[in-house]
Amino acid sequence: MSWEPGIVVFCCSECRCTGVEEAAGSNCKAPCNVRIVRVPCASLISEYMIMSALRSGADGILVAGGSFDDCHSAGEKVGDHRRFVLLENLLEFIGVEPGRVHLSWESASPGDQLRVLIENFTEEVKALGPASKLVKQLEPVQVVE
Amino acid sequence: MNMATINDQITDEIRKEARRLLKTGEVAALIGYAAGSLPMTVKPLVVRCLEDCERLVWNTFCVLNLATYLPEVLSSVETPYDPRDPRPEEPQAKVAILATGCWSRNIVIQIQEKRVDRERVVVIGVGSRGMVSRAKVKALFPEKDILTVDEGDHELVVHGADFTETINRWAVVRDNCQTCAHPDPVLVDIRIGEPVSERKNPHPFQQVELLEQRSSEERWAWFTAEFSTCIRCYACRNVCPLCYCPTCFVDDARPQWLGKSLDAVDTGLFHVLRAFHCAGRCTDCGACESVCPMGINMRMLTKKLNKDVRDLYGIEAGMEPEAPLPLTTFPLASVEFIVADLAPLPAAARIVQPSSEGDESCKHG
Ligand code: SF4
Ligand code: SF4
Repeated sequence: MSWEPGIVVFCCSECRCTGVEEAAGSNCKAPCNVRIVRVPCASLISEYMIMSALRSGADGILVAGGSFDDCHSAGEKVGDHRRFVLLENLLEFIGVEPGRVHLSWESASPGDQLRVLIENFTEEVKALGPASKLVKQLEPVQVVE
Repeated sequence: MNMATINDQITDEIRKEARRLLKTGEVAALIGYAAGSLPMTVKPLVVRCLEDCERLVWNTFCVLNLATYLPEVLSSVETPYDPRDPRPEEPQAKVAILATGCWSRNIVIQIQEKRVDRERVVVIGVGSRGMVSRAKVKALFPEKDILTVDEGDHELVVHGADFTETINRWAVVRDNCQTCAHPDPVLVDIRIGEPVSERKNPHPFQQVELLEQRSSEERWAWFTAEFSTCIRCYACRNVCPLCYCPTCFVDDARPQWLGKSLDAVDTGLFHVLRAFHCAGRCTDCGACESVCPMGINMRMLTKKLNKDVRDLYGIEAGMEPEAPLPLTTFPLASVEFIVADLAPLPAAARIVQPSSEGDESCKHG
């Protein structure tokens, strides 16, 4: 079987997740390797969550916030956008492939659009190949009989 | 070197000023430096009585950032009160602190972050001529023991058991001091010595830019090699005035974000996250790099973030006490950035411009 990337999607349940169920339920191309983490607000997504996902072996991480126009706490999100752009740049700086961690702050989307976004992202990650940088690998334990 | 050097004169002035401040009761404590026990080192000293004033020194090896100790010393001179009671109303005792350009900017950040009350701090400003890196001097004399180093204005005389050599001072000044544009304190209550002019600095981010030009793979090779020797002693975190969380994320156990071993991934993540937490706040004081026992150049990560914060948000950390913090306070009207996305969207949708509330500032955090 061909390799399928593991994708973690952090998304805001207020704006982005309105169509998550549909997205997962409809015949989305790569549903089973996509893990969707819903948060009440995009500003609750911390750098720890993103880095933890990377460390645990996610091949692609998508942070999907809604647009600033219809966010119920626009300010927080702007602050967050400012922070995450820096994180994305820093990861690129240390040599993590650009595109592994991706931020999207688009308009509140019906499920379809989120699905398209996830599908496109999955394709991009597929092109990058499996993640190896900042992924923790444990040495196999030798069992002594 | 019979004539008193600039730093000797500054030491004298600091002692005189410290005696005056403590005698008049203007301050309850003063944070400065005492000579260290090893050559080319100093240690932080909190002076609370007149006798200790004579222990104060100022030399070219003052690489620690004194702002780190300020909040603790301030709370040590407060009237004690029960945490359940309101803060005492009466004015609290003041603390004086020595500050060069970068340390004063760290004090500004402490004021912005409400860690420190401006009214209670007396900043004794000293223009910095650049501090010397102990590691650089040691590297010039491999396999030899340096016993003492005498300091002139422009040269250092290094004495060992069987040698004495004179070296140029600027050649061994720390990298961050060589590229610093603001050596003079931005916050001054009492000035010692002559003001130092702003330095014209055509390439403040040269080292970062050189790395940026390399390929992704080369940068990854640099990152893994640079941090491979880290022993996770956390000296770089402890010495930084920006790191003050009661429980650091590296010490968290539930959830445990990072492993505690010397695993390369955990070490790398520690450095990425530590640097990320200093984004928009780091003043490039170089204390972290100076204290690292393994000589790791972790300042490169914070420097990269400083560059991005300057380029994207037009802010240099800690230049004005009234200025907002770049990552938590910002006018909504200024938000206008391109959101690069994979899904092709009409051009108009790619520029996000919140229409609400004109130029009112919004705050969070
Ligand atoms: S991160 Fe390093 S250079 Fe930046 S303020 Fe902290 S100690 Fe100074
Ligand atoms: S001071 Fe150096 S060895 Fe210690 S944790 Fe920091 S980088 Fe690692």
